[in-house]
Amino acid sequence: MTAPLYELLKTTGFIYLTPGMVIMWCIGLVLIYLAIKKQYEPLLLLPIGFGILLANLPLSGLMEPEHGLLWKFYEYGIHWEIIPPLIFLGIGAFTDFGPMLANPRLIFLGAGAQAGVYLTFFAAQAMGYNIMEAATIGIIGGADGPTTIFLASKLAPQLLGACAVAAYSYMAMVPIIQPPIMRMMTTPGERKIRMRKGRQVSKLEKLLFPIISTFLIILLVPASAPLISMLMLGNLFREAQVVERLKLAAQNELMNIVTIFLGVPIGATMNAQVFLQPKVLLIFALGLCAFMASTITGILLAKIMNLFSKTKLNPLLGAAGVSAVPMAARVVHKVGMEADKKNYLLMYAMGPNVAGVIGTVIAAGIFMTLLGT
Amino acid sequence: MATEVLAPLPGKIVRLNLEEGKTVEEDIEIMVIEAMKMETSVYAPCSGLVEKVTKKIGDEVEEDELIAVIS
Amino acid sequence: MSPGVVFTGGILGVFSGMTLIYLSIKITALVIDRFIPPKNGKA
Repeated sequence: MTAPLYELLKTTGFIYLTPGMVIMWCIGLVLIYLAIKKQYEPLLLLPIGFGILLANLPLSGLMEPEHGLLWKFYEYGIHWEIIPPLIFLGIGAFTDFGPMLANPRLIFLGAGAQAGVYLTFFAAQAMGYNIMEAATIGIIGGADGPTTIFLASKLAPQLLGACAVAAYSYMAMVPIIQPPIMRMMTTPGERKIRMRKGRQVSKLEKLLFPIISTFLIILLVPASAPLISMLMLGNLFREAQVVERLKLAAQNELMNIVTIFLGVPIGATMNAQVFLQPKVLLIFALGLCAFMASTITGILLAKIMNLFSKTKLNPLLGAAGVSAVPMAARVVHKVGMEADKKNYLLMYAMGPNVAGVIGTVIAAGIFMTLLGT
Repeated sequence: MATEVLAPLPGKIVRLNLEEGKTVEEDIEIMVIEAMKMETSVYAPCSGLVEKVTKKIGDEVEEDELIAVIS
Repeated sequence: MSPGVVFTGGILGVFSGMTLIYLSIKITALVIDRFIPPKNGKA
C-alpha cells in the first residue's frame, strides 16, 4: 500500500531536500530582502538571490550541463565572456571621464587602491588558496562587479558565486565600510584640504581619450582587451554625440537585458555542496579585508604624493580609488563635508573613482596574463 | 563689496533659500544642489543683502556658474 | 609563476599602465592647448 505512494513521492523533490539546501534558501532570501528592503544593489542581488533559491531545489535540472536553462545562461553568457564586457559597454556609456581628464594626477590614486588587490591576493594564497583562487579573491578589492565575475569565470569558476556576491554586497556597503578607515587614516586638517580646480577639458580631449587609452592599455596588457575595448567603445558612443541611439541602447536596454542574464545564473552557481564550505565562506572575510586594504592603500598613496607635491591633495580622495562608482566618490564627499562643510570633493573624487575602474581592469588583465589560462 | 555665489559643483538646484532684497547670514544653508543622485548643501559665503539671484529651482548649473550676488 | 612575481609584476603593471594613461592625457592636453585655439574667445 505504501510502496506505490513512495514511488510517487520519489518523482517529487521533497525527499531529496538536504539541510544545506535550506540554509542556502535562507541566504537567497536574505539577499532578496537586502535588495528590496535595503536597496543594496537590487539590480544584481535580487536576481542572484532568486538564482540561489532555484539552484537549491532538487531535480530541477536548471544547472544540468548541456540541458539546463540556467546552465545555458551561464555557459553562453558568462563562460563565453559575453555578458561582463557588455556590461562594461554600458558603464562606458555612463562614465564621464571629464573629472579625471581635468586633474590627471588623480589617476594615480585609482592605481594606488589596486595595491589592496595584490595585498589580498598575497594573503589569500598564504592562507592556502591556490594561486588562481587567490587572484580572484584579491580582485574583489577593486570593487568592480563585472571584472570580478570576468576574472573568476576564467581562473576560478568554483568561487564565482561567492566572489560576485561578496563584491556586490560590499560595494553596497561602501558607505559603512570606508568612513571609519578614512577618519582613522587622516587628520582633520588633511580632511579640510580644499582641492584646486582642474583645467577646462575640451570636447576633443574627451573624444580622444577613449581611443588613445584603448590603444595604450591593450598594447600594454593584451589580456584586458575584452573589458577595456567595450568600456571605451561605450564611452566613445557617449562622447561622439552623433550616435545617441547606440549610447542609450548601451546604457539602458542592453544593460538591463544582460543584467538579468548575469544575475540569475550567478545565483544558480551557488548550490549547497559548492557554497557551504569553509573555503568559500572565508571569501567573505577576505573580500572585506580586500575592500579595507584598497581604501588604505589609496589614502596612503595620496599622502605619499603630498610629500612630493606643492599643491596638496585631500588624502580622502585616495579612498575613491576603489571603483565602486559613484558610491565611493559620494562617501569621500560626505566625509570631507563633515570636516569642512564648504569643502565640495564630489567631482574631484570622481576622478580617482573612474580611474579605479580602469585600474581594476588592468589588474585583472595582469592576473590573466601571468597566471595564463 | 559684492560677493558672487558660484555653484561649487555641477548639478541641479533642488532647493533655493535666496530671495532678492532679503538678507542672509554667513554659513546658513542657501541652496541644495543634486549631483550624482546625492544632495549637497551650499552655505552662504558671507552675511549681507541678496542683490541678485540668477537661477531658480530646477535649473541645471555648471561648476562655477553664477547663482547669486550678495552685498 | 610564484606569488611574489605576480605580486610585484601586478603592482608594477598597474602603475605603469596608469602612468601611460597619465602621460597620454597630459600630452593630449598640451597638444590641444598649443595647436587648437578655443572657439569662444578666451578659454
